[in-house]
Amino acid sequence: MDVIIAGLVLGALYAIVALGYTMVYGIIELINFAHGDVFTFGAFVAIPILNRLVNQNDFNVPVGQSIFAVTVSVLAAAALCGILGVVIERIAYRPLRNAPRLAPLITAIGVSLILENALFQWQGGLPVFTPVAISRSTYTILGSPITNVQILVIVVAILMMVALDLFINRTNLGKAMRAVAQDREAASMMGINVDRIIAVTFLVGSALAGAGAVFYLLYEGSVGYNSGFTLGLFAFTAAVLGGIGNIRGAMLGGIVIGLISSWIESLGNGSGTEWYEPVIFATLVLILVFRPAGLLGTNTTEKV
Amino acid sequence: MAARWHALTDAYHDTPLLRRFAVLLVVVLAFLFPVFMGSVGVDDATFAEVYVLLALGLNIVVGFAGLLDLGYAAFFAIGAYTAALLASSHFAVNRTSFHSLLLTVGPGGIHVNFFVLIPLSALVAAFFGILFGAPTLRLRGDYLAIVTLGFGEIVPKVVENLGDGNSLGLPNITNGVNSITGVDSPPNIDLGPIHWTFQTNDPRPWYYLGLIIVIISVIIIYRLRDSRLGRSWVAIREDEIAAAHAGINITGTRLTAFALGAAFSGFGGLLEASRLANVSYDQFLFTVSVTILTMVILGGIGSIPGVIVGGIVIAYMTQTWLTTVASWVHSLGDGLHKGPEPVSTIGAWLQSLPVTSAKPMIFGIILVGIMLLRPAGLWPEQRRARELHPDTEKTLEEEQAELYTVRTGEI
Repeated sequence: MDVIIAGLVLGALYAIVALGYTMVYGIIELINFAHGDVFTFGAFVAIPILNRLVNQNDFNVPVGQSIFAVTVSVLAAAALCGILGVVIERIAYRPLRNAPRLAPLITAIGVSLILENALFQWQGGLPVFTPVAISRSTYTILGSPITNVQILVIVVAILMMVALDLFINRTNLGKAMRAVAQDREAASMMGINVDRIIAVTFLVGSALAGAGAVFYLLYEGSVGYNSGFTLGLFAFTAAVLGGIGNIRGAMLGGIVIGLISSWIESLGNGSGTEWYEPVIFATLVLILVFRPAGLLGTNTTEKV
Repeated sequence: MAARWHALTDAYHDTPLLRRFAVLLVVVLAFLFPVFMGSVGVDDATFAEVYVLLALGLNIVVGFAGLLDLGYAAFFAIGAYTAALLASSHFAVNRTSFHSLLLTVGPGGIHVNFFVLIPLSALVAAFFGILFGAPTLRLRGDYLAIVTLGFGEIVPKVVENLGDGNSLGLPNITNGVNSITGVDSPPNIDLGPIHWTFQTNDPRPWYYLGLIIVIISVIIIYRLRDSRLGRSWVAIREDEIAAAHAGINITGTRLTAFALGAAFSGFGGLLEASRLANVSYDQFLFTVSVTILTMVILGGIGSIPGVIVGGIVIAYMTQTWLTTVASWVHSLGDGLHKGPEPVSTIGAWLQSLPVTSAKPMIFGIILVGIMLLRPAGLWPEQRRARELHPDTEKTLEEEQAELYTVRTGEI
């Protein structure tokens, strides 16, 4: 049960990051390698804000102060990450929209390197710790302990996903996004500003990553300059598992990957912590080989 | 065999005189290089040779076949560990020792002759290339990028985890976090005027050995590029569906590109393992894959001379130039810091500028910059350059004229 709870929390975080991958892939068929680093950027933005708003020596933070600090840092991280995402798209991907497939993939990996090194120069190579922004209290569910932070992460993730689902399926902007994903040319003939819609996709995806990063920080307590890259790979695996381009699939995939990785990590004599990375990547390969469309995806033929 | 030889001499005769001369000059200068340089310079050059070899191999995968491989260092690691495990005292065999020219087995470990390891390391790397490639090369290109990235992470991790007392209860296979030390050097070579003894204090024999391997590889790769196989790679890269309809086996052809690319990286691994005499899992992390990719992109995707130049530039940049530039920038900062107020702030900023640790950022800027500004690289391949900038009046006419002559056979 402990394992399941940890897995759900981890899975919720993967799912939030996976949403960014899957939205971008759905709309321009690009693996945005920089997404994981945008996530780390969000965490690094939140750290000084939390430091300022929370008394670092006090483990008993008043509830009002916690809510205020977390809200402000989530908004700031989401806003700055959203802007960063749009800027990345504008500089590195938009000029290559009609270039061969290889070109934007290479710039994506380049942007990821630039961002990661910038984060390294900013905060150094060691993990950065945050103050306790929410005083811990533990509840018991079905005989296992669960902290309020864990509950918060799961609840927030569900809220974000519901909101995103509504946004995609119920608003005009969401409809335009789905149209661009389906057929860019036809969408532009219907009067949709394709460039703007793609920018919005990056804005939303990156903002989600930024917000998710704050909750990751609250849960883990620290973040390193390269945490986002590995987490991004796992999140991408989640997106593929769920069926890339499929929003609900990304959520499901995130939860499944979270459960798998926390289950493997819990295995005895330390083999889990050593082997969970290879196992996750092996999972990715197996999915791609046996069910490339993912759990919820439908098989699509490649666009010509 | 005779036909092959004729093809090679024909290729030679088809090359313009000036170009033949230029190539000859470069080769001669490369051979004379150690005469002018101190041993540190030659050591750096040997490092550059290994990376040129790797870049040439990756160029087959990325440049010719158009597959983005982000885990190429995995094959480098496999080549290096093949050499390290089969030519060191790591695997002690408890029986009376068996000794021969090509192979020695006994309590002193397994020692395979270096010249047997040359094909062997390439074969093992190619085998793993097929093993990794076979299930994944059916996928679309961008999935392949992430899967290779995954392999690039898995291989060093597996090597790290299979050491002494590993958690799976397996015997000590890779020596884990403790690197494998004492990898054999090539046997001494005594051929008339050439006396090469491979020792750590003299880099020159290593340099020549590397140079010969690079030259042979370049010839092989040129022949590959112009072969039926090489043209199939390009056809798939340009239009997969059209290539499939022209009767090319897509997965099989890609697999050969992947396996051959891996094979060259196996050579590189062997050379590096025996040169440094030790291998460790952390020599083959993601940064290495990215370094090699940057060489290929900088020089020009698919262009063999471009990739060689790109490899040399990046290898030197990582080895020496960055440190030199850093010391320049910092001493400039020292000078400016003594000046009046606005200048001294700039000086202080320059003093603390982290030039050497910004290597990944420089790679990133190169990758993005080249793709945006000069997608064919510094030294573009002719065919590729035409593809990227087609359809000016003149090239169109040229292409059509070429097509006409080919069709009517009037060459």
